Amino acid sequence: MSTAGPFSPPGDGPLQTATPPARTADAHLEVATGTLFVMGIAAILLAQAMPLVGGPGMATDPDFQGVPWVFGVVMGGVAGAFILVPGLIFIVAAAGIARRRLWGWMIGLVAFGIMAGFCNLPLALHGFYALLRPDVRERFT
Amino acid sequence: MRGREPGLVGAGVLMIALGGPILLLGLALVPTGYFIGISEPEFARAGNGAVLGLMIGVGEGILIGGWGALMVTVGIGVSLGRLWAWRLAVPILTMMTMSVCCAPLSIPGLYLLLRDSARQNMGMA
Repeated sequence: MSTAGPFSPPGDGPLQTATPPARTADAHLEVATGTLFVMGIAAILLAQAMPLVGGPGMATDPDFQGVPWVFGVVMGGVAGAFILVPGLIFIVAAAGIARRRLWGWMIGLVAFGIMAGFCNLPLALHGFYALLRPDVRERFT
Repeated sequence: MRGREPGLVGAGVLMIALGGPILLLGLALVPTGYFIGISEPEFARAGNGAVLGLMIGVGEGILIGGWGALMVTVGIGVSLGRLWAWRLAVPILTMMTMSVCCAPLSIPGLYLLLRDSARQNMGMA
């Protein structure tokens, strides 16, 4: 009588290999990741347009006659920088959540807070739901 | 098998149908800005009208055309059954739903993306 244990020889049968369980994606987390990435891309697209549109806009505005149009480019650049910063936060958070990192979870909460106030409230609320469910926090290491 | 789910192919085609005209509109804004710059007297008074018009055209063209290019790229990815594309497609279509003229295409697209069989095709429970 032989008992098969973890250190016993495999015998004549087919070799049993340990296979890790298949990674099942969580739909809410995947959508939250995509939301952050899409909002980040949208913010970058908007940020590049601010100085390019701001300069000619100021140059052709009758209220700003005599003001050099480069001043409009600079002011648009400053406004674009204010838009670019949250956009980069969104993309960093998306990368962290996709890799299931704890810092990604934390930055994700900050990013969805920014999004709730300035971008898209429904998608931000869904993001909070995706991140704050009871069993989700344990998946981030 | 990924990429064979007909609903995902349909959702991808809907995204391409939405994003294609947006991409073309963005491309068209570059010459439009130039021609406005050389023809409008406000631009001529401000200095080099062609350059100023091109600046607006390029800025708006990248903004709108970039969004269209993103939609077309994601639509192709969804048609091929890629998870990264599914991730991006859901928020994109949700945002497009808030536009009245895009909602007739984006709502069916969202339905096709969020069905059980589509999610299972992407490896989600």
